[in-house]
Amino acid sequence: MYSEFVQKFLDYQTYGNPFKDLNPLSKLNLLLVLAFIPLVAQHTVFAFCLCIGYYVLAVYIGEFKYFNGIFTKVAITVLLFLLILRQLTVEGTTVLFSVFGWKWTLEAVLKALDLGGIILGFSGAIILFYASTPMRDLMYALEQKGVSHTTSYIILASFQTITDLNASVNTIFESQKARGIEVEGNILTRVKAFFPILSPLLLGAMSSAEEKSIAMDARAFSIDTNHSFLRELRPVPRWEKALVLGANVFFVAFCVFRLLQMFVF
Amino acid sequence: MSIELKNASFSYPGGFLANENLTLTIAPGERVAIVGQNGAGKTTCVKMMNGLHKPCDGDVLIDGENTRDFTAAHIARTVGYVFQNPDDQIFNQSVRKEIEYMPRYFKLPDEEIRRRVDRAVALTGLEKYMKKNPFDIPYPIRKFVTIAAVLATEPKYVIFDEPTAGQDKWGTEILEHLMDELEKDGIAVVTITHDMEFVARNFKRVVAMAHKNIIADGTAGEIFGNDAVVEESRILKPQLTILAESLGLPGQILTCEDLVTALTGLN
Amino acid sequence: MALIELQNVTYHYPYVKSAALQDISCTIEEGKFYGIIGENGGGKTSLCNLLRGLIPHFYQGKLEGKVTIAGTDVMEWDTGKLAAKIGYVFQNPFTQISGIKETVFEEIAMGLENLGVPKKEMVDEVLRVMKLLNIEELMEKNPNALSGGQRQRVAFASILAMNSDILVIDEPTSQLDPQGTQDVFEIIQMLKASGKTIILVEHKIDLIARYCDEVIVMQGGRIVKQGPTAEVLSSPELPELGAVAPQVSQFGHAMAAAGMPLDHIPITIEEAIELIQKQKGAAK
Repeated sequence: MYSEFVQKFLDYQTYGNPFKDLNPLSKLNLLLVLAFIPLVAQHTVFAFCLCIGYYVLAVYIGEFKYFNGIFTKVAITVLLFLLILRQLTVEGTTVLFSVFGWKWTLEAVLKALDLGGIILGFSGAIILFYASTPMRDLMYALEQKGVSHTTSYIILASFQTITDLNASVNTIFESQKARGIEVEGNILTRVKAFFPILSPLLLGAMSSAEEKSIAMDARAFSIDTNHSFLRELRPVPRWEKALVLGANVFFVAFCVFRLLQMFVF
Repeated sequence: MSIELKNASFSYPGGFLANENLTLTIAPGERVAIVGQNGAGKTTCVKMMNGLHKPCDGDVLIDGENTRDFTAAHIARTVGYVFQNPDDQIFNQSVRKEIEYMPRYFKLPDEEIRRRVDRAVALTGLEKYMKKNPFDIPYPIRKFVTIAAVLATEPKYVIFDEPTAGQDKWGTEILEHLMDELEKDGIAVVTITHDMEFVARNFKRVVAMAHKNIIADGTAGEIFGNDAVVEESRILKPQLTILAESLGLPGQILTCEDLVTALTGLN
Repeated sequence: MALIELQNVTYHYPYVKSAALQDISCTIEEGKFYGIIGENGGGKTSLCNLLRGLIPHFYQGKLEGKVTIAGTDVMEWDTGKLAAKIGYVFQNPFTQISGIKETVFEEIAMGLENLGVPKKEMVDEVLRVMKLLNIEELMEKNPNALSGGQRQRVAFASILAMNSDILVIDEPTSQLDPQGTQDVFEIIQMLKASGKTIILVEHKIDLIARYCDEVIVMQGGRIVKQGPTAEVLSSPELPELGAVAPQVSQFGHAMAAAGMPLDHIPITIEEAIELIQKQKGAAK
């Protein structure tokens, strides 16, 4: 009899949420279709509706906080940049208000929203993908499609390194404090502490790279047999394949329709 | 004048309690070994002694001054602490620069810097490595670079965290000689170690820790002679103590000399 | 049967003038437990790299002499197969964690995934090894957040799970407390009893004395002494070779110096007790 924790590995990895449980590649495909629609459609209202749709999905998969955190930042940056840029480049007649004689026009705002909608419609899809898919699930799916085990390892390990560096910084901080280097206090003190903190961090990362590759070699990374997987995602169900196919057919048809609209009509 | 832990407790930000109600005094010039199993709270305890951890409850006083009122870097001038992993500390291009770094940081006169560096190097046996890049010398010897770097700050108390790990005969001998020299200078040494033979040979006072607490504080003979303490702190008795006990010899036998005297004295 | 055979092997790491290993000849026999001791920088780790085939497959450099592993020249071995044949646990526990697994359980299973072991077998094997090393309580923990001692045990478990015939282990206990160290030696002893060949680098000489069949002493890149454990460790020249003698052997030498020599130099406590009692009996 296995504990609940161990039993989980014997079954397929599922999250109990139909959207999250989509195969990462199907999910990516569906979200990319959504991402490109605003660009093809060139319809601002639709683009912003889509963003609301992303929010609904984010709430549905229980990742509202993560999604909102990143999306808001992206949205503010993009919109602010575009609004200012368009005010400088677009000549409008309907003045909304003026700042120290600088007139903001409705036309420029609308232009900014046009492009902003396309960009946000696209970024929202990508953020939502990351919010709903652990990296290791994506790598698993890619390995199933023939991506090498080593490539997958390098990508996953790079992500982990970023987390690890954080922990190392703390240890190095303490270790330098312990011999008398002030690392807290005013800007000048902090700047002075920069070198003693950064150098061990970088040197450590470099010197451990060689050992790490030996360690991974010791785990038979380079052996020429088929790998097995402790964590397995469910095989892609037929309805999911149909859904992806349908979405792609729809997208291609929509593109063709838009092209005809542009050139023929 | 001493390091005093008064009912000091420490828990990590996550709420994990690592030390509970520790009371311990380290006098100037004293030599103390802290022993106990992995996770007993030894490192947390010494981090309170140099202000890296401020107690959540109780007080830690260094020569009468509360560690809460000072930064760890300030306390480091009085209480030096050598970390377990030298790679977390070393950042200079040569061993010499690494050892000189703190005296220069304190803006000491050149002559004083030279004196301190020479002294620290003589104690750690690093003469032939001075020009080398610290990362090109073997790991156990690199540990001596961090020891020398801390000794060059001339603290009144020095804490070593597992200095014996991975050391060979040469390294252990250097360490023993270094502690003797520091004792002559009246510098206190607190050492965390898993090497019980090293403890038996070099320490009169031993503090045994288990489950976040100090469970015994006494002479090496008292600690190793107490089966309950040995078991609870998951340490091992020195080989020759076990031998003497199996032979039913009286008294506290810790070292080779003790045992030979006990046996030759019998006949 | 000779499993690994080294004949007059000399090796230089790339861009290094002095040889890391000089004129090394030794035979590793199947099912035996070897201890490698000696000073730091004396070539212990290089010898491990050689026995494990990392020299010459991973480290380039200049290799002279003949290295044969299970009857095949090391140059002809496929690196992946060699990794499966010879398990390698090394000193630094921090670099041995893969960094891509979220739980200790998955970390230990990783080698088995690479070997293509079916899932059910994999799960059972990981559970068995965790039980053996008494780390079941770490199962669900994140391997990247463990202490040095815990990582050392997880690294050991990860290699044990792969069930290789030969194990090269470089200081597996440097971060462990005395009891934890003792436990690791007990486990190695069990592995030996199950027919595995073990090559261990350790400074903890009293444990080498108790458990190893043969001891190799290294100094300045050379093997300066090798043979059965009792013979090597009781030798009075051990300190000159940069190695420490077991406590009881030191005691044996001291007794001789004090004019009361024991019948021979003991290396374990049990042996010492017997010799002292024999001496007492003779005195009466």
